[in-house]
Amino acid sequence: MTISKLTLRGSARLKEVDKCKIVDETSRRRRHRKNMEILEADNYHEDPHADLVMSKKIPKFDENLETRTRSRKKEKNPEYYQAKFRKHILQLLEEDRMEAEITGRYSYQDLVAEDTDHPARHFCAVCGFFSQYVCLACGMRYCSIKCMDTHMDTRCLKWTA
Amino acid sequence: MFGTRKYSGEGFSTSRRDSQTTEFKPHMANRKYERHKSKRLKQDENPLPGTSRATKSKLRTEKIFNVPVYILDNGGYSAKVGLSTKDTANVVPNCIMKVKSERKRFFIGNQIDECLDLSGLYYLLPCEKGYVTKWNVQKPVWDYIFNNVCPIEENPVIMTQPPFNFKAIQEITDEIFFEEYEVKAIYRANPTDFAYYQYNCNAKGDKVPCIIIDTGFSFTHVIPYIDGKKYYKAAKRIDIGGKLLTNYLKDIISYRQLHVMDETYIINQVKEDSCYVSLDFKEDMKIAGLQGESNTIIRNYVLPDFNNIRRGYVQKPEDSSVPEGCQILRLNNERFTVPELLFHPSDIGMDTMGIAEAVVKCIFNCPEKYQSQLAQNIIVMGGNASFEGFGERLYKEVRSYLPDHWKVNVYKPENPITYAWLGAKSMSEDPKIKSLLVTKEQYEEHGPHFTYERFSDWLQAKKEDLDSSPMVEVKPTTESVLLKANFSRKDLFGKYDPDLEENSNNEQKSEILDTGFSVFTNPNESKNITDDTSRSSKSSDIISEGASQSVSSDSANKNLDSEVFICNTDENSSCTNAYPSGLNMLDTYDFDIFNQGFV
Ligand SMILES: [Zn+2]
Ligand SMILES: [Zn+2]
Repeated sequence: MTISKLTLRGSARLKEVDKCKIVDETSRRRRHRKNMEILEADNYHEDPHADLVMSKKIPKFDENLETRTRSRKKEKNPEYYQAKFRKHILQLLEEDRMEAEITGRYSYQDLVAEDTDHPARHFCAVCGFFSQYVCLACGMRYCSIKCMDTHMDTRCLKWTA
Repeated sequence: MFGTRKYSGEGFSTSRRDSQTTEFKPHMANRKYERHKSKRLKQDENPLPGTSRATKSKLRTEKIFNVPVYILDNGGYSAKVGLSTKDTANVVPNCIMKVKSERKRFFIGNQIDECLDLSGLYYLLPCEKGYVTKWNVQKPVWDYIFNNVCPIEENPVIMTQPPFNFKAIQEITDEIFFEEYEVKAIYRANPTDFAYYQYNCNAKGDKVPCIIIDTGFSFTHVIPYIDGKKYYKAAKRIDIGGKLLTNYLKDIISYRQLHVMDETYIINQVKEDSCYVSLDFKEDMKIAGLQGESNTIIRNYVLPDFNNIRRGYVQKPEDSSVPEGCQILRLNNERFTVPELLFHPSDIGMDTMGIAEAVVKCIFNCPEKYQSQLAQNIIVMGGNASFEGFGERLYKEVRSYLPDHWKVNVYKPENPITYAWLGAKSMSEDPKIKSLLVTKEQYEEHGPHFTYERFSDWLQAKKEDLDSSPMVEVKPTTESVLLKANFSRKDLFGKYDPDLEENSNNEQKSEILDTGFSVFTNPNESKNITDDTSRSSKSSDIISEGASQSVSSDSANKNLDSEVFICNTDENSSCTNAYPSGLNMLDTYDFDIFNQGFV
């Protein structure tokens, strides 16, 4: 949906807010999860050369290193170990948890730090300074009229909910 | 205990531009050594001829193995690699990269230096959540490192692995190193284990309880060490690392001014060059909100154009000229709200506690008699520790949570990124390393299970005393066991320890330490350890509470570091306590294989 900033000015904007349904807790949590996924990603964009495949031998070994004791015939194709491994990280975590339960030892899961005791601080979702106002529709925060306008035009969840 | 030099505001941290540099400064370290050389010789009972540090350590290493040890700190973003005869590690990107401008090739590790245009760089990283899972990435990078960066010959290998490194991962690692690379012997431990060794090898054999904070690319660990072992009950992991910080900076810059979501590589450099940890967050927010010259935080960052400028840089505040054709980022509160996440994950809606809070909780989860000592030995390492202000902020926050009469010390190594490598190097010079290595023959005889058990100290870290409570209660995964705090009568592995009980009431803390050399017992003697350890912190940064004390070169010389520790080491003595891992050392292994294999 495209709504220009102009149409949202003044009373028009207030009317828009009235029409928007309030984003429920589930959607807000989904938004948070999606944000966290972006923050944990190795890359944001797609592989620009996804078709590029690693050659069997790693290119450009120094010629004079060929004399090393390592026998050439033992060198495995780069995909060999991946094919042998075939485990997802979540599978590894689960295996660790189960092994730990059986033997009563500490596991990866046990080490995760507890929740903080401190109250959350609130920041403007637009400019990053402290904020006092909450978007009624989506629960994000802003600090000023200017930032509210930007928020309404951009990341406010009311459009996607 | 490390150093009582009062924090003066100077020299704690290198300048922002330097804060991420991984260059070693040998002149700093060596100069100090040279100064004490003559005196040290008089005291050294078995002086070796030709005693510059380098030659001596080389001699020692070669006496053990005849060849240098190959040391690899395999981080989630960069590998730190080098032979034990070298002063410092090579830092190599532990990834394969593709760039938009080059559609025919990959860039493996530091091959990226050959690439002219780094825009739109795409990462293939070997790790997920800090654990190697993508072997089709890790293996080529290792191949590259072992062939081109630092060639391996007949060297034994010491390498790092993350805590809980899973069995399947260790098995593949063994297969690669023993079967394909045909490495003669291997030892693996966590980066913090090596840091612990490094921190303690300056303290004449006494193992000081300490808390090590390793904050890297994938996550942050807060791990207490007591009596040479990790105290798992109080250890914590915060799932925030350098990757998340870079992505967060990318996100807010893209939203506020310039779309840079595809420029992880460049924004990582922006982060390294311009971000810092605020010492007074509210105040900095106030300053960043000001207009004009009173805003002392705002900076311009000149982005690289990959024509004239290969790496971006922070413009000096007075310089407002824009190089032709260059794009500028305006960085204001971004400079400190990004690293702030390490201390307040809740700022982006995460529920978890921040580093300082975790350190304090960690201290209080440890047995009471160790608590004040732990507060005096807080060590920070890993890439995020390089942020300007990181150590000071941690000190300030931890200080504010703890009782006033406790001392608090935060120790930041000169180079937090290569500190684990340095620790592994020191360990490689200790004869005891022989009993830690697993040889190819042992691997072939006993199989991968053998190495897994030898290198995984967490296998010994039992939650409850199984003898006194035969019913093993299996806890749901969500419940943290760390909250339970009645542990005073039991040691790490749940054994009843009457000493713990008796000494818990502020007894002389020297009794905690293993042997002689009383520390903290009375003010006069504690001066010794202070001077001694202040030497260990040469050209490093210490924030310390307490009276400022000048370092007397005489007494600094008196308790000389690892040299003494190693020379006095009885090779046959049990080293269970001497090593960070909680493994049962088997001293009876036949290590002749080394002497035959490495001649
Ligand atoms: Zn705002
Ligand atoms: Zn909204």
